[in-house]
Amino acid sequence: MSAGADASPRDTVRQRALPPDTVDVQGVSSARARIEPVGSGRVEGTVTFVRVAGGVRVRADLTGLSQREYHAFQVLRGRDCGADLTVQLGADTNAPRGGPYSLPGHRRAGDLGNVRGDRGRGRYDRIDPVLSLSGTASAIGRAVVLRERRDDTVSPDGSAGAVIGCGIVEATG
Amino acid sequence: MKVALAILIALAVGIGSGWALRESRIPTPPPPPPDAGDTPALDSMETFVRDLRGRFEQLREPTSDEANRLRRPRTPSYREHLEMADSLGVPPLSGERELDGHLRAGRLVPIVDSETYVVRVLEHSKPFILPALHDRLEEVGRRFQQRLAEAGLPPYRLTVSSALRTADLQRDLSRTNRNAISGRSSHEYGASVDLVYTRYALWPSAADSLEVPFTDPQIGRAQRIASQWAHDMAGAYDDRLFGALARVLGAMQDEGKLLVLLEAELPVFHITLDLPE
Repeated sequence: MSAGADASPRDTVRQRALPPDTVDVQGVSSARARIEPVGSGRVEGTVTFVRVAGGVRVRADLTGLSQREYHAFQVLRGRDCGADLTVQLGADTNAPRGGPYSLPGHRRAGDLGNVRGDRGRGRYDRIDPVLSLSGTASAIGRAVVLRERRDDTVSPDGSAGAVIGCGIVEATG
Repeated sequence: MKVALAILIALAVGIGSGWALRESRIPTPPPPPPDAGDTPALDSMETFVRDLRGRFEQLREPTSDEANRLRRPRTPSYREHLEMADSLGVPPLSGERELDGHLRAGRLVPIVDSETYVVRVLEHSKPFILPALHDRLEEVGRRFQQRLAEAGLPPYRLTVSSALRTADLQRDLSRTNRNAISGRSSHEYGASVDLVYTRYALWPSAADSLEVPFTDPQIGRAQRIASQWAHDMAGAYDDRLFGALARVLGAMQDEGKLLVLLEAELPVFHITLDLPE
């Protein structure tokens, strides 16, 4: 059935929603994503992921951010940097949305919050208790993105504008 | 005489407008949702907010003595924090590379969100501290939540905004933050953290405080709204929460468990592990 005029909103959502993840990642303790500019963005840098007691330590060192602005920092469900943001964030499926401090069940694992552009340089260091490097929800192989504006942590896609930097998370250990 | 009168009037206007502004910060109960009446969960929202506000009002505001005893010069100076950190902590780290050895040896432990605190995104520090400070921090959180429970309030979590600093991060910070000293910091020993006194995060069980039948189809929505209100209310009554936290920290300093310094330029308590000799 195509998403025609007769399709109910629920049918449309069902069609646009991504199929369940089947890639089951095991044995990864560290990973890295090299961030490169996308579109009009100039963001470059590295994001590392290391498994530690209590969660995954996410560390980012970035350049090319706006002066004193915050930029949404998200791990998408999708596995390429050209993926449709709306679909990859589950914005059309009523998926829970939040930030890194949101209550369990009120955020996606990839909702990492924001990175501040301090004189253009952005640093981020936090141990995230929700994000995982293993299992079918592993961050390995997925796209990590920086966006134009701050993630409001409330609206379905964060209302953070276009992607200005992106990289794919690759296992390093 | 005229000058004195003008000063008096200005003072009265200032205090009056300050009070009015403070009042306007306190959120009013939300209007009933359009479909209220169909569901006990949504009907209960207004009651929930009113009760929560009443409980915050029961929490005592800090007296000036309670706040001032944690400010210079009545509290141990920054030099004393530094000396304590130097005697208890790991040797200052020049950068990330030296971290691994300390973690493997258990001299430093990760600091991750818990039932009693959350750790903010760190820009100029790393999420690791001494194990003994970790235990103290848990104790601060437990005692803080105990004080809130005595007032009938849900368990708000504290916010950690700074932990271990390596020398390169400390140098970088001292260029941009006037509050960060340009020399050595007690953060470099893993023996100190900063606790923000204007931000608090709700622990999930607070959302369960809505007393509604679990069969109500709107319970999820009602709990989300309740959580948001409880979060917003913490911002409006942050002076009361500040008072509760100051009393806990003051008591723990008296007990010889922590050194506490209420910072002058940032809304944080700088706390350092204290261990009796």
